[in-house]
Amino acid sequence: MIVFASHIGDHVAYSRFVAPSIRAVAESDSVVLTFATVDGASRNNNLLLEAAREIEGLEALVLLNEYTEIIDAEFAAKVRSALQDPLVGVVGCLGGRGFRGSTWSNGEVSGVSVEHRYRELGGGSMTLFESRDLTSGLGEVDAVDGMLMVLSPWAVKNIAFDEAFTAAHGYDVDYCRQIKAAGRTVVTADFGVRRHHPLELRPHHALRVAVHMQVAQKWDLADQDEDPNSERWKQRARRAEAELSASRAHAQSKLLDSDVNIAERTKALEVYTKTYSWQLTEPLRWANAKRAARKAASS
Amino acid sequence: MIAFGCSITRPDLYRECAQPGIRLAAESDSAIYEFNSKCSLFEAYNQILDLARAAEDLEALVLVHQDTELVDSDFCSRIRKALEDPEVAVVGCAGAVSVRSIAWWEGSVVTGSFLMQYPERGGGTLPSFSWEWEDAPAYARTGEVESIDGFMLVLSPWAIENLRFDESLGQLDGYDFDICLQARVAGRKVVTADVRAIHHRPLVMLKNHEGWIDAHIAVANKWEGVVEGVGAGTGSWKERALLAEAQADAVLYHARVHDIEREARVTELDAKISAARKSIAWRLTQPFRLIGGRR
Repeated sequence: MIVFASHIGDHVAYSRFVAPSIRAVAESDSVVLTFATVDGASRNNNLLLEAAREIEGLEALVLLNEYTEIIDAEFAAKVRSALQDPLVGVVGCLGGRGFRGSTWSNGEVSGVSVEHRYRELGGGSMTLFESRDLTSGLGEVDAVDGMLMVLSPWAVKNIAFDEAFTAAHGYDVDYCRQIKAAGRTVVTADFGVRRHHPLELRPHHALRVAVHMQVAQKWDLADQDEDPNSERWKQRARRAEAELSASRAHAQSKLLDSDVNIAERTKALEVYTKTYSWQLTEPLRWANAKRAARKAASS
Repeated sequence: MIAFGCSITRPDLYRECAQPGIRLAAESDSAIYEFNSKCSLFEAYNQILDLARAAEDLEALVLVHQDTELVDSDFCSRIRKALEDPEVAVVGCAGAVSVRSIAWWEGSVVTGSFLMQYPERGGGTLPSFSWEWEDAPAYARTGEVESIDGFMLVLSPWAIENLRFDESLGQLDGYDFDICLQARVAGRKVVTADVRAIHHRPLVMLKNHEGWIDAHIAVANKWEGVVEGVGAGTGSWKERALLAEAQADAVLYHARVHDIEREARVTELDAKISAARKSIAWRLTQPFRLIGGRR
Protein backbone atom coordinates (compact mmCIF):
# COMPACT_ATOMS: atom_id res chain seq x y z
CA MET A 1 0.00 0.00 0.00
CA ILE A 2 1.22 3.49 -0.87
CA VAL A 3 0.68 6.11 1.85
CA PHE A 4 0.57 9.83 1.10
CA ALA A 5 1.51 12.21 3.90
CA SER A 6 1.67 15.96 4.36
CA HIS A 7 1.95 18.43 7.19
CA ILE A 8 -0.27 21.39 6.52
CA GLY A 9 0.44 24.99 7.35
CA ASP A 10 -1.41 26.47 4.39
CA HIS A 11 -4.73 24.67 4.38
CA VAL A 12 -5.99 26.50 1.29
CA ALA A 13 -2.94 25.54 -0.76
CA TYR A 14 -3.19 21.91 0.35
CA SER A 15 -6.91 21.68 -0.50
CA ARG A 16 -6.40 23.36 -3.81
CA PHE A 17 -3.31 21.63 -5.14
CA VAL A 18 -2.24 18.60 -3.14
CA ALA A 19 -5.50 16.93 -2.10
CA PRO A 20 -7.02 16.70 -5.61
CA SER A 21 -3.77 15.39 -7.03
CA ILE A 22 -3.55 12.69 -4.37
CA ARG A 23 -7.12 11.68 -5.14
CA ALA A 24 -6.16 11.40 -8.80
CA VAL A 25 -3.14 9.14 -8.31
CA ALA A 26 -4.01 7.20 -5.14
CA GLU A 27 -5.07 3.60 -5.33
CA SER A 28 -8.18 2.22 -3.68
CA ASP A 29 -6.30 1.06 -0.57
CA SER A 30 -4.05 4.15 -0.28
CA VAL A 31 -4.04 6.00 3.03
CA VAL A 32 -3.67 9.76 3.32
CA LEU A 33 -2.02 11.11 6.48
CA THR A 34 -2.23 14.79 7.39
CA PHE A 35 -1.22 16.81 10.42
CA ALA A 36 -1.25 20.48 11.21
CA THR A 37 2.24 21.96 11.04
CA VAL A 38 4.17 22.11 14.28
CA ASP A 39 7.43 23.95 14.84
CA GLY A 40 10.29 22.54 12.78
CA ALA A 41 10.37 20.73 9.44
CA SER A 42 11.98 17.56 10.82
CA ARG A 43 9.55 17.31 13.72
CA ASN A 44 6.65 17.55 11.27
CA ASN A 45 8.06 14.77 9.15
CA ASN A 46 8.72 12.57 12.18
CA LEU A 47 5.08 12.94 13.16
CA LEU A 48 4.12 11.58 9.76
CA LEU A 49 6.74 8.83 9.98
CA GLU A 50 5.43 7.67 13.35
CA ALA A 51 1.90 7.45 11.99
CA ALA A 52 3.10 5.59 8.88
CA ARG A 53 4.97 3.01 10.99
CA GLU A 54 1.62 1.89 12.42
CA ILE A 55 0.24 1.04 8.99
CA GLU A 56 0.43 -2.58 7.94
CA GLY A 57 1.36 -3.49 4.40
CA LEU A 58 3.18 -0.21 3.77
CA GLU A 59 4.99 -0.25 0.41
CA ALA A 60 6.01 3.41 0.33
CA LEU A 61 5.49 6.65 2.19
CA VAL A 62 5.09 9.67 -0.09
CA LEU A 63 6.00 12.86 1.78
CA LEU A 64 4.54 15.82 -0.07
CA ASN A 65 4.81 19.41 0.91
CA GLU A 66 1.65 21.46 0.68
CA TYR A 67 2.64 23.14 -2.57
CA THR A 68 3.46 19.99 -4.56
CA GLU A 69 0.91 18.62 -6.98
CA ILE A 70 1.46 15.19 -8.49
CA ILE A 71 0.50 15.19 -12.18
CA ASP A 72 1.45 11.68 -13.11
CA ALA A 73 -1.15 8.99 -13.78
CA GLU A 74 1.55 6.33 -13.49
CA PHE A 75 2.85 7.65 -10.21
CA ALA A 76 2.11 4.49 -8.16
CA ALA A 77 3.68 2.23 -10.77
CA LYS A 78 6.78 4.45 -10.88
CA VAL A 79 7.06 4.37 -7.09
CA ARG A 80 6.96 0.58 -7.09
CA SER A 81 9.44 0.40 -9.92
CA ALA A 82 11.89 2.72 -8.16
CA LEU A 83 11.62 0.76 -4.92
CA GLN A 84 12.12 -2.62 -6.59
CA ASP A 85 15.76 -2.37 -5.63
CA PRO A 86 15.73 -3.16 -1.90
CA LEU A 87 18.72 -0.90 -1.33
CA VAL A 88 16.78 2.20 -2.33
CA GLY A 89 15.80 4.22 0.74
CA VAL A 90 14.49 7.45 -0.76
CA VAL A 91 13.19 8.46 -4.19
CA GLY A 92 12.59 12.01 -5.34
CA CYS A 93 11.87 13.93 -8.50
CA LEU A 94 14.86 16.30 -8.24
CA GLY A 95 18.17 15.85 -6.52
CA GLY A 96 21.87 16.44 -6.72
CA ARG A 97 25.21 14.84 -6.22
CA GLY A 98 28.70 16.07 -5.53
CA PHE A 99 27.75 19.09 -3.45
CA ARG A 100 28.69 20.31 0.00
CA GLY A 101 26.31 21.57 2.65
CA SER A 102 22.58 21.94 2.30
CA THR A 103 21.87 22.95 -1.30
CA TRP A 104 21.69 19.89 -3.51
CA SER A 105 21.12 22.06 -6.58
CA ASN A 106 24.69 23.37 -6.30
CA GLY A 107 25.90 19.94 -7.38
CA GLU A 108 25.17 17.93 -10.50
CA VAL A 109 21.39 18.05 -10.88
CA SER A 110 19.41 14.92 -11.62
CA GLY A 111 15.67 14.51 -12.06
CA VAL A 112 12.87 16.02 -14.08
CA SER A 113 11.88 19.55 -15.03
CA VAL A 114 9.20 20.87 -12.71
CA GLU A 115 6.57 23.43 -13.61
CA HIS A 116 6.44 26.24 -11.04
CA ARG A 117 3.16 28.16 -10.92
CA TYR A 118 2.87 31.48 -9.11
CA ARG A 119 0.14 34.05 -8.58
CA GLU A 120 2.14 37.27 -8.34
CA LEU A 121 2.68 39.62 -11.29
CA GLY A 122 -0.59 38.58 -12.86
CA GLY A 123 0.18 34.89 -12.34
CA GLY A 124 2.15 32.59 -14.56
CA SER A 125 4.35 29.57 -14.70
CA MET A 126 7.92 28.71 -15.48
CA THR A 127 10.09 25.65 -15.60
CA LEU A 128 12.37 24.87 -12.70
CA PHE A 129 15.41 23.09 -14.04
CA GLU A 130 15.11 23.02 -17.82
CA SER A 131 16.57 19.96 -19.47
CA ARG A 132 19.86 21.86 -20.02
CA ASP A 133 20.08 22.34 -16.23
CA LEU A 134 19.69 18.62 -15.57
CA THR A 135 23.38 17.89 -15.73
CA SER A 136 23.06 14.29 -14.67
CA GLY A 137 20.74 11.45 -15.71
CA LEU A 138 18.10 9.88 -13.48
CA GLY A 139 19.55 7.57 -10.86
CA GLU A 140 21.60 7.65 -7.71
CA VAL A 141 22.16 11.02 -6.05
CA ASP A 142 23.37 12.31 -2.69
CA ALA A 143 20.08 13.98 -1.80
CA VAL A 144 16.65 14.82 -3.20
CA ASP A 145 14.48 17.88 -2.70
CA GLY A 146 11.96 17.81 0.13
CA MET A 147 9.07 18.89 -2.11
CA LEU A 148 8.50 15.18 -2.81
CA MET A 149 10.25 12.36 -0.97
CA VAL A 150 9.17 8.75 -1.35
CA LEU A 151 10.48 6.65 1.55
CA SER A 152 10.89 2.90 1.45
CA PRO A 153 9.42 0.80 4.30
CA TRP A 154 12.98 0.27 5.56
CA ALA A 155 13.57 4.03 5.71
CA VAL A 156 10.26 4.64 7.45
CA LYS A 157 11.11 2.05 10.08
CA ASN A 158 14.76 2.82 10.65
CA ILE A 159 15.60 6.43 9.91
CA ALA A 160 14.03 9.46 11.57
CA PHE A 161 14.47 13.08 10.56
CA ASP A 162 17.04 14.87 12.72
CA GLU A 163 15.01 17.41 14.70
CA ALA A 164 18.06 19.63 15.05
CA PHE A 165 17.07 20.71 11.53
CA THR A 166 14.20 23.08 12.11
CA ALA A 167 14.34 25.21 8.97
CA ALA A 168 12.34 24.57 5.81
CA HIS A 169 15.46 23.40 4.01
CA GLY A 170 18.42 21.24 4.91
CA TYR A 171 16.29 18.58 6.61
CA ASP A 172 15.90 16.78 3.27
CA VAL A 173 19.64 16.71 2.59
CA ASP A 174 20.35 15.54 6.12
CA TYR A 175 17.77 12.74 5.85
CA CYS A 176 19.26 11.52 2.59
CA ARG A 177 22.77 11.64 4.07
CA GLN A 178 21.52 9.47 6.92
CA ILE A 179 20.06 6.99 4.44
CA LYS A 180 23.37 6.80 2.60
CA ALA A 181 25.36 6.52 5.82
CA ALA A 182 23.23 3.48 6.64
CA GLY A 183 24.30 1.86 3.37
CA ARG A 184 21.13 2.55 1.38
CA THR A 185 20.72 4.65 -1.72
CA VAL A 186 18.85 7.78 -2.74
CA VAL A 187 17.61 8.01 -6.31
CA THR A 188 15.64 10.23 -8.65
CA ALA A 189 12.74 9.04 -10.78
CA ASP A 190 10.70 10.72 -13.53
CA PHE A 191 7.71 11.62 -11.36
CA GLY A 192 5.53 14.28 -12.94
CA VAL A 193 4.99 17.06 -10.40
CA ARG A 194 3.98 20.69 -10.41
CA ARG A 195 4.87 23.20 -7.76
CA HIS A 196 2.56 25.98 -6.65
CA HIS A 197 4.52 28.52 -4.71
CA PRO A 198 4.89 32.25 -4.32
CA LEU A 199 7.88 33.69 -6.12
CA GLU A 200 9.27 34.94 -2.83
CA LEU A 201 11.21 31.81 -1.91
CA ARG A 202 14.19 33.08 -0.06
CA PRO A 203 14.78 32.31 3.57
CA HIS A 204 16.92 34.78 5.46
CA HIS A 205 20.52 34.78 4.21
CA ALA A 206 21.92 34.17 7.71
CA LEU A 207 19.59 31.23 8.24
CA ARG A 208 20.64 29.67 4.97
CA VAL A 209 24.29 30.07 5.93
CA ALA A 210 23.64 28.54 9.34
CA VAL A 211 21.84 25.50 7.90
CA HIS A 212 24.59 24.94 5.35
CA MET A 213 27.17 24.95 8.14
CA GLN A 214 25.01 22.66 10.27
CA VAL A 215 24.89 20.09 7.48
CA ALA A 216 28.60 20.48 6.70
CA GLN A 217 29.60 20.13 10.38
CA LYS A 218 27.54 16.97 10.71
CA TRP A 219 28.54 15.23 7.50
CA ASP A 220 32.15 16.20 6.89
CA LEU A 221 33.02 13.07 8.84
CA ALA A 222 36.50 12.72 7.40
CA ASP A 223 37.40 16.12 8.80
CA GLN A 224 36.13 15.76 12.35
CA ASP A 225 39.43 14.91 14.04
CA GLU A 226 41.68 17.05 11.91
CA ASP A 227 43.45 20.11 13.31
CA PRO A 228 41.14 23.01 12.39
CA ASN A 229 44.22 25.03 11.45
CA SER A 230 45.82 22.34 9.30
CA GLU A 231 47.30 23.14 5.89
CA ARG A 232 44.41 21.26 4.28
CA TRP A 233 41.83 23.41 6.05
CA LYS A 234 43.83 26.51 5.12
CA GLN A 235 43.74 25.56 1.45
CA ARG A 236 40.05 24.78 1.65
CA ALA A 237 39.37 28.12 3.35
CA ARG A 238 41.36 30.04 0.78
CA ARG A 239 39.53 28.29 -2.04
CA ALA A 240 36.15 28.82 -0.37
CA GLU A 241 36.76 32.51 0.19
CA ALA A 242 37.81 32.93 -3.43
CA GLU A 243 34.77 30.97 -4.62
CA LEU A 244 32.57 33.18 -2.45
CA SER A 245 33.85 36.32 -4.18
CA ALA A 246 33.44 34.62 -7.57
CA SER A 247 29.88 33.57 -6.70
CA ARG A 248 29.02 37.15 -5.84
CA ALA A 249 30.49 38.33 -9.13
CA HIS A 250 28.58 35.70 -11.10
CA ALA A 251 25.37 36.60 -9.26
CA GLN A 252 25.96 40.27 -10.04
CA SER A 253 26.54 39.47 -13.73
CA LYS A 254 23.26 37.55 -13.90
CA LEU A 255 21.46 40.35 -12.14
CA LEU A 256 22.80 42.88 -14.62
CA ASP A 257 21.75 40.68 -17.51
CA SER A 258 18.19 40.30 -16.24
CA ASP A 259 17.97 44.01 -15.43
CA VAL A 260 18.95 44.77 -19.01
CA ASN A 261 16.40 42.25 -20.27
CA ILE A 262 13.62 43.78 -18.17
CA ALA A 263 14.58 47.33 -19.15
CA GLU A 264 14.46 46.34 -22.81
CA ARG A 265 10.92 44.93 -22.45
CA THR A 266 9.72 47.85 -20.35
CA LYS A 267 10.86 50.15 -23.12
CA ALA A 268 9.08 47.99 -25.71
CA LEU A 269 5.87 48.15 -23.68
CA GLU A 270 6.09 51.92 -23.46
CA VAL A 271 5.91 52.12 -27.26
CA TYR A 272 2.28 51.05 -26.84
CA THR A 273 1.30 52.56 -23.52
CA LYS A 274 2.68 56.04 -24.13
CA THR A 275 0.39 56.60 -27.14
CA TYR A 276 -2.73 58.81 -26.93
CA SER A 277 -4.94 55.96 -28.16
CA TRP A 278 -3.74 53.71 -25.33
CA GLN A 279 -4.21 56.36 -22.68
CA LEU A 280 -7.66 57.29 -24.02
CA THR A 281 -8.86 53.70 -23.86
CA GLU A 282 -7.39 53.03 -20.39
CA PRO A 283 -10.80 53.30 -18.59
CA LEU A 284 -12.17 50.54 -20.84
CA ARG A 285 -9.33 48.20 -19.96
CA TRP A 286 -9.75 48.99 -16.29
CA ALA A 287 -13.47 48.16 -16.47
CA ASN A 288 -12.77 44.96 -18.40
CA ALA A 289 -10.19 43.85 -15.85
CA LYS A 290 -12.65 44.51 -13.01
CA ARG A 291 -15.36 42.52 -14.77
CA ALA A 292 -12.98 39.62 -15.42
CA ALA A 293 -11.89 39.59 -11.78
CA ARG A 294 -15.53 39.55 -10.59
CA LYS A 295 -16.30 36.71 -12.98
CA ALA A 296 -13.28 34.71 -11.80
CA ALA A 297 -14.21 35.25 -8.15
CA SER A 298 -17.82 34.15 -8.66
CA SER A 299 -16.81 31.00 -10.56
CA MET B 1 55.81 63.45 -21.30
CA ILE B 2 52.87 61.17 -20.56
CA ALA B 3 53.15 57.75 -22.20
CA PHE B 4 50.40 55.29 -22.99
CA GLY B 5 50.66 51.51 -23.08
CA CYS B 6 48.35 48.67 -24.02
CA SER B 7 48.76 44.91 -24.10
CA ILE B 8 47.07 43.75 -27.30
CA THR B 9 45.81 40.23 -27.86
CA ARG B 10 42.94 41.27 -30.15
CA PRO B 11 44.03 44.00 -32.58
CA ASP B 12 40.43 44.53 -33.76
CA LEU B 13 39.30 45.30 -30.22
CA TYR B 14 42.26 47.61 -29.68
CA ARG B 15 41.51 49.50 -32.90
CA GLU B 16 37.86 49.85 -31.96
CA CYS B 17 38.19 50.77 -28.27
CA ALA B 18 41.58 51.65 -26.82
CA GLN B 19 43.23 53.26 -29.83
CA PRO B 20 40.65 56.04 -30.40
CA GLY B 21 40.76 56.88 -26.68
CA ILE B 22 44.55 57.02 -26.60
CA ARG B 23 44.58 59.23 -29.72
CA LEU B 24 42.09 61.56 -28.07
CA ALA B 25 43.98 61.75 -24.79
CA ALA B 26 47.60 61.71 -25.97
CA GLU B 27 49.64 64.86 -26.46
CA SER B 28 51.90 65.51 -29.42
CA ASP B 29 54.99 64.24 -27.58
CA SER B 30 53.31 61.23 -25.97
CA ALA B 31 54.90 57.84 -26.50
CA ILE B 32 52.44 55.07 -27.29
CA TYR B 33 53.49 51.49 -26.53
CA GLU B 34 51.28 49.09 -28.49
CA PHE B 35 52.44 45.74 -27.19
CA ASN B 36 51.30 42.74 -29.23
CA SER B 37 51.14 40.20 -26.49
CA LYS B 38 51.39 36.44 -26.43
CA CYS B 39 52.20 36.32 -22.72
CA SER B 40 50.39 37.08 -19.46
CA LEU B 41 49.15 40.58 -18.78
CA PHE B 42 51.68 40.79 -15.92
CA GLU B 43 54.58 40.06 -18.28
CA ALA B 44 53.24 42.37 -20.98
CA TYR B 45 52.90 45.24 -18.53
CA ASN B 46 56.42 44.62 -17.22
CA GLN B 47 57.77 44.82 -20.74
CA ILE B 48 55.94 48.09 -21.25
CA LEU B 49 57.42 49.28 -17.94
CA ASP B 50 60.88 48.43 -19.26
CA LEU B 51 60.25 50.54 -22.37
CA ALA B 52 58.92 53.40 -20.26
CA ARG B 53 61.95 53.35 -17.98
CA ALA B 54 64.12 54.05 -20.97
CA ALA B 55 62.09 57.11 -21.95
CA GLU B 56 63.26 60.56 -20.98
CA ASP B 57 61.21 63.12 -19.03
CA LEU B 58 58.45 60.68 -18.32
CA GLU B 59 55.69 62.20 -16.18
CA ALA B 60 53.38 59.17 -16.14
CA LEU B 61 52.59 55.87 -17.81
CA VAL B 62 48.94 55.22 -18.61
CA LEU B 63 48.10 51.51 -18.96
CA VAL B 64 44.75 50.71 -20.53
CA HIS B 65 43.08 47.44 -21.40
CA GLN B 66 42.50 46.93 -25.09
CA ASP B 67 38.73 47.25 -24.45
CA THR B 68 39.05 50.54 -22.56
CA GLU B 69 38.35 53.86 -24.23
CA LEU B 70 39.54 57.10 -22.65
CA VAL B 71 37.06 59.92 -23.22
CA ASP B 72 38.63 63.08 -21.79
CA SER B 73 40.42 65.29 -24.31
CA ASP B 74 42.14 67.00 -21.35
CA PHE B 75 43.06 63.64 -19.83
CA CYS B 76 46.75 64.48 -19.50
CA SER B 77 46.18 67.69 -17.57
CA ARG B 78 43.83 65.84 -15.20
CA ILE B 79 46.52 63.21 -14.63
CA ARG B 80 49.18 65.87 -14.03
CA LYS B 81 46.88 67.37 -11.39
CA ALA B 82 46.41 63.99 -9.69
CA LEU B 83 50.19 63.47 -9.67
CA GLU B 84 50.95 66.88 -8.17
CA ASP B 85 51.26 65.13 -4.81
CA PRO B 86 54.66 63.38 -5.07
CA GLU B 87 53.44 60.62 -2.75
CA VAL B 88 50.91 59.43 -5.35
CA ALA B 89 52.10 56.29 -7.16
CA VAL B 90 48.99 54.89 -8.82
CA VAL B 91 45.93 56.65 -10.25
CA GLY B 92 42.67 55.17 -11.52
CA CYS B 93 39.11 56.14 -12.40
CA ALA B 94 37.44 53.52 -10.20
CA GLY B 95 38.50 52.40 -6.77
CA ALA B 96 37.56 51.43 -3.26
CA VAL B 97 38.65 51.52 0.36
CA SER B 98 38.53 48.57 2.78
CA VAL B 99 39.64 46.19 0.04
CA ARG B 100 40.59 42.72 1.28
CA SER B 101 41.05 40.74 -1.92
CA ILE B 102 41.38 41.02 -5.68
CA ALA B 103 37.59 41.46 -5.71
CA TRP B 104 38.22 45.14 -5.06
CA TRP B 105 34.57 45.95 -5.77
CA GLU B 106 33.65 44.07 -2.58
CA GLY B 107 35.29 46.90 -0.68
CA SER B 108 33.60 50.25 -0.12
CA VAL B 109 33.68 51.70 -3.62
CA VAL B 110 34.21 55.47 -3.63
CA THR B 111 34.77 56.22 -7.32
CA GLY B 112 33.21 54.65 -10.39
CA SER B 113 33.79 57.07 -13.24
CA PHE B 114 33.27 54.66 -16.08
CA LEU B 115 30.60 53.52 -18.45
CA MET B 116 30.18 49.86 -19.22
CA GLN B 117 29.30 49.28 -22.85
CA TYR B 118 28.06 45.72 -23.25
CA PRO B 119 27.35 43.73 -26.41
CA GLU B 120 24.60 41.46 -25.04
CA ARG B 121 20.91 41.85 -25.93
CA GLY B 122 21.58 44.19 -28.80
CA GLY B 123 24.10 46.22 -26.84
CA GLY B 124 23.72 49.04 -24.36
CA THR B 125 25.44 51.08 -21.71
CA LEU B 126 25.46 51.04 -17.93
CA PRO B 127 27.02 54.09 -16.29
CA SER B 128 28.76 53.58 -12.98
CA PHE B 129 27.74 55.82 -10.11
CA SER B 130 30.18 58.70 -10.64
CA TRP B 131 30.16 58.72 -14.42
CA GLU B 132 28.09 61.89 -14.03
CA TRP B 133 29.13 63.66 -10.86
CA GLU B 134 25.89 65.60 -10.49
CA ASP B 135 23.99 62.29 -10.09
CA ALA B 136 26.59 60.66 -7.85
CA PRO B 137 25.68 59.37 -4.38
CA ALA B 138 26.93 61.05 -1.20
CA TYR B 139 29.79 58.57 -0.74
CA ALA B 140 31.22 59.22 -4.18
CA ARG B 141 34.51 61.09 -4.23
CA THR B 142 37.98 61.03 -5.68
CA GLY B 143 41.09 60.73 -3.55
CA GLU B 144 43.03 58.11 -1.69
CA VAL B 145 41.85 54.51 -2.03
CA GLU B 146 43.26 51.07 -1.31
CA SER B 147 42.81 49.65 -4.79
CA ILE B 148 41.82 50.85 -8.20
CA ASP B 149 40.36 48.89 -11.11
CA GLY B 150 43.16 47.99 -13.49
CA PHE B 151 41.27 48.51 -16.74
CA MET B 152 42.81 52.00 -16.63
CA LEU B 153 45.73 52.67 -14.35
CA VAL B 154 48.32 55.41 -14.31
CA LEU B 155 51.75 54.98 -12.78
CA SER B 156 53.90 57.83 -11.49
CA PRO B 157 57.63 58.07 -12.35
CA TRP B 158 58.41 56.64 -8.91
CA ALA B 159 56.10 53.66 -9.56
CA ILE B 160 57.60 53.09 -13.01
CA GLU B 161 61.05 53.05 -11.50
CA ASN B 162 60.34 50.99 -8.40
CA LEU B 163 57.40 48.64 -9.00
CA ARG B 164 57.00 45.47 -11.07
CA PHE B 165 53.93 43.44 -11.81
CA ASP B 166 54.28 40.14 -9.94
CA GLU B 167 54.32 37.50 -12.67
CA SER B 168 54.01 34.69 -10.16
CA LEU B 169 50.39 35.61 -9.44
CA GLY B 170 48.82 34.36 -12.65
CA GLN B 171 47.89 35.39 -16.16
CA LEU B 172 45.28 38.10 -16.07
CA ASP B 173 43.72 38.83 -12.70
CA GLY B 174 44.76 40.49 -9.47
CA TYR B 175 47.64 42.55 -10.90
CA ASP B 176 45.84 45.80 -10.10
CA PHE B 177 45.24 45.10 -6.42
CA ASP B 178 48.76 43.69 -6.08
CA ILE B 179 50.47 46.73 -7.62
CA CYS B 180 48.39 48.98 -5.34
CA LEU B 181 49.48 46.94 -2.32
CA GLN B 182 53.11 47.19 -3.41
CA ALA B 183 52.80 50.96 -3.66
CA ARG B 184 51.07 51.30 -0.30
CA VAL B 185 53.55 49.07 1.50
CA ALA B 186 56.31 51.32 0.13
CA GLY B 187 54.54 54.26 1.77
CA ARG B 188 53.04 55.69 -1.41
CA LYS B 189 49.45 56.57 -2.21
CA VAL B 190 46.89 55.09 -4.55
CA VAL B 191 44.24 57.57 -5.66
CA THR B 192 41.27 57.97 -7.95
CA ALA B 193 41.13 61.07 -10.12
CA ASP B 194 38.46 62.91 -12.04
CA VAL B 195 39.06 61.04 -15.29
CA ARG B 196 36.62 58.85 -17.17
CA ALA B 197 36.70 55.82 -19.44
CA ILE B 198 34.34 53.55 -21.32
CA HIS B 199 34.85 49.88 -20.63
CA HIS B 200 33.67 47.84 -23.63
CA ARG B 201 33.01 44.48 -22.04
CA PRO B 202 30.34 41.83 -21.60
CA LEU B 203 28.03 41.86 -18.59
CA VAL B 204 29.73 38.68 -17.35
CA MET B 205 32.23 39.83 -14.77
CA LEU B 206 34.60 36.85 -14.58
CA LYS B 207 35.52 35.27 -17.86
CA ASN B 208 38.10 32.84 -16.53
CA HIS B 209 36.71 31.43 -13.30
CA GLU B 210 39.58 29.10 -12.40
CA GLY B 211 42.29 31.63 -13.24
CA TRP B 212 40.54 34.23 -11.15
CA ILE B 213 40.19 31.85 -8.19
CA ASP B 214 43.90 30.98 -8.39
CA ALA B 215 44.85 34.66 -8.45
CA HIS B 216 42.55 35.38 -5.49
CA ILE B 217 44.31 32.67 -3.48
CA ALA B 218 47.80 33.67 -4.59
CA VAL B 219 47.29 37.33 -3.65
CA ALA B 220 45.77 36.37 -0.28
CA ASN B 221 48.73 34.11 0.48
CA LYS B 222 51.22 36.76 -0.60
CA TRP B 223 49.85 39.61 1.49
CA GLU B 224 48.43 37.94 4.58
CA GLY B 225 50.22 39.34 7.61
CA VAL B 226 51.83 42.10 5.55
CA VAL B 227 48.81 44.34 4.98
CA GLU B 228 46.13 44.37 7.65
CA GLY B 229 42.92 42.67 6.56
CA VAL B 230 44.23 41.18 3.32
CA GLY B 231 43.89 37.41 3.37
CA ALA B 232 42.89 37.57 7.01
CA GLY B 233 39.74 36.35 8.69
CA THR B 234 38.22 35.41 12.01
CA GLY B 235 38.39 31.94 13.52
CA SER B 236 40.26 28.80 12.56
CA TRP B 237 40.86 27.84 8.95
CA LYS B 238 38.14 25.21 9.35
CA GLU B 239 35.62 27.81 10.56
CA ARG B 240 36.58 30.14 7.73
CA ALA B 241 36.23 27.36 5.17
CA LEU B 242 32.82 26.30 6.39
CA LEU B 243 31.55 29.86 6.68
CA ALA B 244 32.73 30.86 3.20
CA GLU B 245 31.29 27.68 1.67
CA ALA B 246 27.99 28.36 3.36
CA GLN B 247 27.94 31.98 2.25
CA ALA B 248 28.77 31.01 -1.34
CA ASP B 249 25.97 28.47 -1.23
CA ALA B 250 23.54 31.15 -0.04
CA VAL B 251 24.73 33.58 -2.72
CA LEU B 252 24.13 30.99 -5.45
CA TYR B 253 20.73 30.15 -4.03
CA HIS B 254 19.68 33.78 -3.91
CA ALA B 255 20.93 34.27 -7.46
CA ARG B 256 18.64 31.47 -8.58
CA VAL B 257 15.72 32.97 -6.70
CA HIS B 258 16.40 36.34 -8.31
CA ASP B 259 16.42 34.55 -11.66
CA ILE B 260 13.01 33.05 -10.98
CA GLU B 261 11.56 36.39 -9.92
CA ARG B 262 12.98 38.20 -12.90
CA GLU B 263 11.90 35.51 -15.31
CA ALA B 264 8.37 35.98 -13.95
CA ARG B 265 8.68 39.73 -14.49
CA VAL B 266 9.83 39.15 -18.09
CA THR B 267 6.87 36.82 -18.67
CA GLU B 268 4.51 39.45 -17.27
CA LEU B 269 5.96 42.16 -19.52
CA ASP B 270 5.79 39.88 -22.58
CA ALA B 271 2.13 39.19 -21.82
CA LYS B 272 1.41 42.92 -21.52
CA ILE B 273 3.23 43.67 -24.77
CA SER B 274 1.31 40.92 -26.53
CA ALA B 275 -2.02 42.16 -25.10
CA ALA B 276 -1.24 45.71 -26.13
CA ARG B 277 -0.32 44.66 -29.64
CA LYS B 278 -3.58 42.73 -30.01
CA SER B 279 -5.77 45.41 -28.42
CA ILE B 280 -8.58 46.95 -30.44
CA ALA B 281 -7.32 50.45 -29.63
CA TRP B 282 -3.88 49.69 -31.05
CA ARG B 283 -5.20 48.00 -34.17
CA LEU B 284 -7.77 50.72 -34.86
CA THR B 285 -5.17 53.46 -34.66
CA GLN B 286 -2.57 51.58 -36.73
CA PRO B 287 -3.34 53.52 -39.98
CA PHE B 288 -2.66 56.84 -38.23
CA ARG B 289 0.72 55.63 -37.04
CA LEU B 290 1.56 54.41 -40.53
CA ILE B 291 0.72 57.82 -41.95
CA GLY B 292 2.69 59.51 -39.17
CA GLY B 293 5.62 57.22 -39.88
CA ARG B 294 5.64 58.14 -43.58
CA ARG B 295 5.79 61.81 -42.67
